[in-house]
Amino acid sequence: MPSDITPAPTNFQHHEWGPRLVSALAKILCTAAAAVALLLLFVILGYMVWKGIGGLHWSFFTNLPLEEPMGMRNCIVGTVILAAIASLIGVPIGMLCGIYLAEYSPKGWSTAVIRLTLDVLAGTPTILFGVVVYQIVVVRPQNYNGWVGHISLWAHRVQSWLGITNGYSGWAGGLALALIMVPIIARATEEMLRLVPLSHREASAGLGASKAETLWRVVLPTAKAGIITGIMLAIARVAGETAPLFFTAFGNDTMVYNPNRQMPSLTEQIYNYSQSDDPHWRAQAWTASLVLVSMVLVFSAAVRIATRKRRIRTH
Amino acid sequence: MILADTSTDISQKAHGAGTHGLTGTVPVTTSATAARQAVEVQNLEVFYGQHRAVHNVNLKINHREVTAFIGPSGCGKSTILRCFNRMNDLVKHCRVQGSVKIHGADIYARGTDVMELRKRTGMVFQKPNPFPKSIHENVAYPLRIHGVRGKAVIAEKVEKSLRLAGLWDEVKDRLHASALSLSGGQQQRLCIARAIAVDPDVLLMDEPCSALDPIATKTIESLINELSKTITIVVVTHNMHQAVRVAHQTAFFYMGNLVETGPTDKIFHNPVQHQTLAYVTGQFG
Repeated sequence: MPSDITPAPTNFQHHEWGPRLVSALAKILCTAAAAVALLLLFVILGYMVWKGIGGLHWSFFTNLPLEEPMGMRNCIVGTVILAAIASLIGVPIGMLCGIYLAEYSPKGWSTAVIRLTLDVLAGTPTILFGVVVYQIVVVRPQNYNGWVGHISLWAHRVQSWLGITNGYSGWAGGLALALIMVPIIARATEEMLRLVPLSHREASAGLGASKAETLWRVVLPTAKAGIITGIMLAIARVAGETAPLFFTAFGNDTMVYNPNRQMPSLTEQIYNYSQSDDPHWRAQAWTASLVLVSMVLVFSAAVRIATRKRRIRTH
Repeated sequence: MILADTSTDISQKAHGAGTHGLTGTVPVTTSATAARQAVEVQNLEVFYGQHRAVHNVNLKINHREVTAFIGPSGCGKSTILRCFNRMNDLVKHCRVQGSVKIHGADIYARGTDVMELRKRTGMVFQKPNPFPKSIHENVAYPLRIHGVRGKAVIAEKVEKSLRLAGLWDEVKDRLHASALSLSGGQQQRLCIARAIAVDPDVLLMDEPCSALDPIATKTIESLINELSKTITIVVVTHNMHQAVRVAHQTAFFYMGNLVETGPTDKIFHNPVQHQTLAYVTGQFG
């Protein structure tokens, strides 16, 4: 039956204050939190630049700590060598681990355990990695009892086969940093590979490509940018590590290129100099911080520019 | 010709005069002699876990003809199509029983080279899925993975495939632009070019036009007609008019069963089964 009753006119002028208040509050809180975070970051960076820029001199890059004027050439080189060793070990292992998790691991509890372990490792205080490498690689154990002893024994056999000496060394430092990198890179790689749409894999499989070919020629190139970002984050992270290096690379006041020797690094020098009573040394620590941050920044930018996608032509 | 049941040749009972308003532009195969079969399916059953998605399907697909698979969603038509190049291998808990022969060879036999099978049976998917690479690299990809080497050889084959797919004139000046810069219809034709680059015998198309506009659809349909001169094509479609326009033969599936199969004209104008009649006249879908 057709109704001739017209509905009561809706009052669009009627204001509900509750929802408006909540959304206004949410917006204010989020904006304020973002502002605080940014402000803190700029205060820290600004303070560092202000304190550090005075010591920025050619001699900082060309001289050694015991020379006059003081410099940190050996520490800059040391940090680069340590990060390079760590990347050489950590990037392939981390990436392969991530590829395993995303592409080959069975779906089930074992994979969940691996993933959880990696997440825990990524959050483990990094000093632990220093202690472990110290125990296994740096010190020459007196006896080889227990399973730690067995690991030590094999580590020493591999070490002597590779011609790596015992004691504090660049190799030990690089290894400790590599252990820090592996879980970060593995999880980043896994996440990026999972983002590659199934349709790409299906298309490749449908053309007769094997799983490995699909992975190498389609999936990895598609995920490349994200994986590289993950690797850059990991490198930046270990370039700023201090604690594990105390147990492994230890530091050196002279110029060292040989990773079999004790290896200096910027972070360690920053720690040592910042504890000093001498204001001149403390100023050097600030300059070293500024140089370290700039190095990471320049390196990240360079890798991004070098690996970015060539611009898509649309005509 | 296609036979729903190997013992009965229903196409012999076929005789024209349609009354349902759908008129085919594709002539019914003239030769009634035993055409060479490209695909022969026997007692095919497909399970997803405990669920039986395909029930005892027997089917023959003629060489160098277009065969359409029609039926409502979930009737198993895509699943069957994906048995022909063993794409179902990629689906966990999917189990296939029975035999599928392509040009006489049982593709589910032990020791089958699945990579080679998929090279021989190209596939085009519902949604255009070009790789995020250049137009040229998309078509070169299957050539490279199947061992074709040499810049000139690859360039020549890429051009040939793009010409066959009717895309060459539109892209010849920007072969190194990203494939993702193409329109949807162009992307789908690129996928066809990619699939036919290694000269497959059979081309499987899983609702190739469902994501395209009518003009792009028309282009793809005439491409299907053109390609069927040299390649056997199986096309899954939701669109009954499309089946009428492109297919020589049509197979109607319902609830995992092959209900009826025969020349397209007969399926749409004079079907034997009442379910087929109900479906093609739009009484359910």
